[in-house]
Amino acid sequence: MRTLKRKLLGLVAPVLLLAAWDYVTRRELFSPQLLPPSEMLLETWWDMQTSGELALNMRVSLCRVAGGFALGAALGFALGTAMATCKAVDDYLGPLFNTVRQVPIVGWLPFLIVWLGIGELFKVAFISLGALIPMALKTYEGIKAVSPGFLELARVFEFGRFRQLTKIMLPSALPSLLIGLRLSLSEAWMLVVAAELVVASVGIGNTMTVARRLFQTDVVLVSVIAIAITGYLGNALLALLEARLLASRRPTCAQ
Amino acid sequence: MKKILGTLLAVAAAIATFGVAPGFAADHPKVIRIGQPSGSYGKAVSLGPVGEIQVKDLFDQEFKKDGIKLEVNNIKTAGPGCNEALANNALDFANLGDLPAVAGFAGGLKTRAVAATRGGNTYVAVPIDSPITNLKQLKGKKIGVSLGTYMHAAGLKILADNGLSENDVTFFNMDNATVLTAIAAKEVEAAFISSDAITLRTRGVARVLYSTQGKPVFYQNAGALIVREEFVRKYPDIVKRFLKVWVKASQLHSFDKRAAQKLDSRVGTPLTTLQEDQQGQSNLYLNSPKFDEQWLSHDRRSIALFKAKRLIRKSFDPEKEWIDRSFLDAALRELNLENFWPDYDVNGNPKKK
Amino acid sequence: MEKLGTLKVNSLSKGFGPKGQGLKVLDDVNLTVEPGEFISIVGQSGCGKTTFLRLVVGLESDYQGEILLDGKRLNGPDLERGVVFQDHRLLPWLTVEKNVGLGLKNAGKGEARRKVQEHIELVGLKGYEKHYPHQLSGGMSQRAAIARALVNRPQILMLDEPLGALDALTRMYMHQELERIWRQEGITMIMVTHDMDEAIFLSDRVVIMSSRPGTIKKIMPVKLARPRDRASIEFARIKEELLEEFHLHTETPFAYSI
Ligand SMILES: Nc1ncnc2c1ncn2[C@@H]1O[C@H](COP(=O)(O)OP(=O)(O)O)[C@@H](O)[C@H]1O
Ligand SMILES: [Mg+2]
Repeated sequence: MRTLKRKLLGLVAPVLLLAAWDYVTRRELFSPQLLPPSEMLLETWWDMQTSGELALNMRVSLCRVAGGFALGAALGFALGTAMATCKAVDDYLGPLFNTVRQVPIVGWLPFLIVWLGIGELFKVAFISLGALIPMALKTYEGIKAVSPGFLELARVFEFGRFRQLTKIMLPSALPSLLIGLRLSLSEAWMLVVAAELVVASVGIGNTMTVARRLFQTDVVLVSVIAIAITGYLGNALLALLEARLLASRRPTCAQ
Repeated sequence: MKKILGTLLAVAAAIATFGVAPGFAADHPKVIRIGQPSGSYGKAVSLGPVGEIQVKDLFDQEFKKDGIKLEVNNIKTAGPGCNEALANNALDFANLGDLPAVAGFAGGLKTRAVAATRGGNTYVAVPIDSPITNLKQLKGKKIGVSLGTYMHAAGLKILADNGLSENDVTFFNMDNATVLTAIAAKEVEAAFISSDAITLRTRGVARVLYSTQGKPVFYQNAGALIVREEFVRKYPDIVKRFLKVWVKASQLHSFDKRAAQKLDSRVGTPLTTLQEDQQGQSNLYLNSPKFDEQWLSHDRRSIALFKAKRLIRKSFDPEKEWIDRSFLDAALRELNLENFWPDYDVNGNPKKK
Repeated sequence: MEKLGTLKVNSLSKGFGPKGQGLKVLDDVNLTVEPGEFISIVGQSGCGKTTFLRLVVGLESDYQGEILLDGKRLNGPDLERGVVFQDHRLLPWLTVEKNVGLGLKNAGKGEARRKVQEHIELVGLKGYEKHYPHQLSGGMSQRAAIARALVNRPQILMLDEPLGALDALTRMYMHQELERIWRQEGITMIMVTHDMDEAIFLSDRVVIMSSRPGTIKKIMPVKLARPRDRASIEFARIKEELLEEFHLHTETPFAYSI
């Protein structure tokens, strides 16, 4: 009951926003090409839906996000784990990693284009680079934050490195890993749009570029909303996964 | 101290520039801002009538007495970028190709078309060692194009003639300068570009697979000088006088083709490229500001095509909803140039009087 | 010849800080623990009880002196020496059953399950196999930790104030349980505690430590028949004797350590 009430609270801000939007567009406080009225948006949405262009472009972008996210999160996880558990790796790669992550990912665009061209490889690489960083960071932090008491437990039970990692470090770092996943996913969504804005033929980012080039503000807005909703759903899915995985993790009352 | 003084001065200057006397500003603007697509070479000079206006000082002759200045914005993102600037009220006039002009109006931009512009071939260029030998082979290929420009529109027409649609190829949106490097670097397999294709060919990095030269005029660009409706409403007299300047410039650009090309080559396009591009085309035709049969039929057909290709979502009647001939007609009458340019028929041939 | 499983600590000293040369925590500790013995260590907070236990477990290095098990020097932790930490250290993401089986080595699947079940029953947690730590009370958590430490059948089990956080009643119940387990398993137990009753109730010998630096003040044998009666006069007498040790040799009143 209370959770339902709290969920409903989350709707207040969007509804208010929509109402304000409706008011503003009805009174024509902004010209329609700057802020299309809501019924025009619905119309455009329906049009894009029935023509299949929304589905097609979202699917293509989703595939890129999925590919880049999977690759980036996996590599980030591996890198974070290696740096957190192996001092030599941390010494060798830590400074490089910390320097690279200061550069906004978009800054790598020109290089990636020169190295990888403008095809799918470039896009997936670009997205995975962006997805890698938060995942590596959160993996590293999570493992570094493992309670020393638990690590002693591993020593007492004579765990090897692998068992120490799989039985103690990773489970303990799980909440942090899940945050890393969420950050990675939202980064992936941001970057797919960025990549497609630069060069693409299909994809929702491309739809936005073309629409912007053709002065179809309504199409741009529908695309933005579609991305927002999909991103929200993706995040909600991860939240669900998180809730399931962390269900047993409540602070013990017996400390 | 010096810094504070400098800031104060700057503020004072800003107040002086942007006006504290609204009553005065209502009569006429301090500056008229015109936008047009910049060339592929990024130079801060313009071709066509705007170039003539700049070189021959035509604007100042008309407006200096009122203290009105001309601000020319060469916009790198081409026509689509001009539309965005118009939407932000950052431009008053824009010299646009057919697709951006139509798309802007269809997209809700409140503009008026006040003079016709035309000319502008589209080329299909491929990398020098490309195996592509005919247009049908473009199927499934990566094509670089500056989306939303007249070249995009012409490209769709060219594809359609060869039984292809935009879904059979992969468009990569790039600004004009980027398309040129992309084709040279073979990042795209073909490109829909302007006469820059000739320059690329001369440099030995590209082959011209096709051009709209000598094709029916529908394949070429036919754009418009457009102006914000609000600007028209506020300053109808200024619009009228600006059109006088514009028509005069168009006339100057119509006289000697060679001189016109020379002026245009200031933007960076080699003279030889311009010569080859415009070979066989009447300079009079290229510079006519008239909304004649040719222009109108081009525009109507374009609108229908754009609608069918979903480049615009709303169709409209240019004659009834968009064009305002009054300023052009007044300028032609005043300058006694009503018969300087012939009216061209649907096929672009001068109509017999 | 000593019996198998004899722990010998000879002039053990330990300091923290650079290379163990800093603050001296333990100084010249000597102790021999017979196999099957129940030893309690009592002493003021901060006197080095935990440090001593950790040294014997093998979690601390850089010490002077010797710690010998059957005449051999210790080299890091070993499954032969189990430990129950002061905080139970159950992994919150594992069920009781998984926690108990955490350290199990060299056992086939069926055997592992049997051993885990056996030890869960030993500590009286039958029926709580699938519970998570946060669903257990403090006493149950400590019992699960004891089961986990016992599952590899160590020769020596070390317990660091295992019942410190429990209420008096539960603690008394746990005393009986611990004694039962100790007897049933027949292993050595070394327990740190600050509860005199607990020490007397369970131990064969009580080791009294003084602090700064930690040394063994006295070792007091408890020669009472088991199970012991807390209300008996002998019990009270031993307790008085024990307390006297503290009153006589510390200026500050006795401070409990947790
Ligand atoms: N890792 C350590 N580094 C420095 N000092 C420590 C460390 N562990 C314990 N000490 C110090 O050693 C002393 C004894 O600690 P401890 O063995 O935990 O005492 P007890 O368990 O008897 O309360 C304390 O003064 C404590 O501050
Ligand atoms: Mg302690």
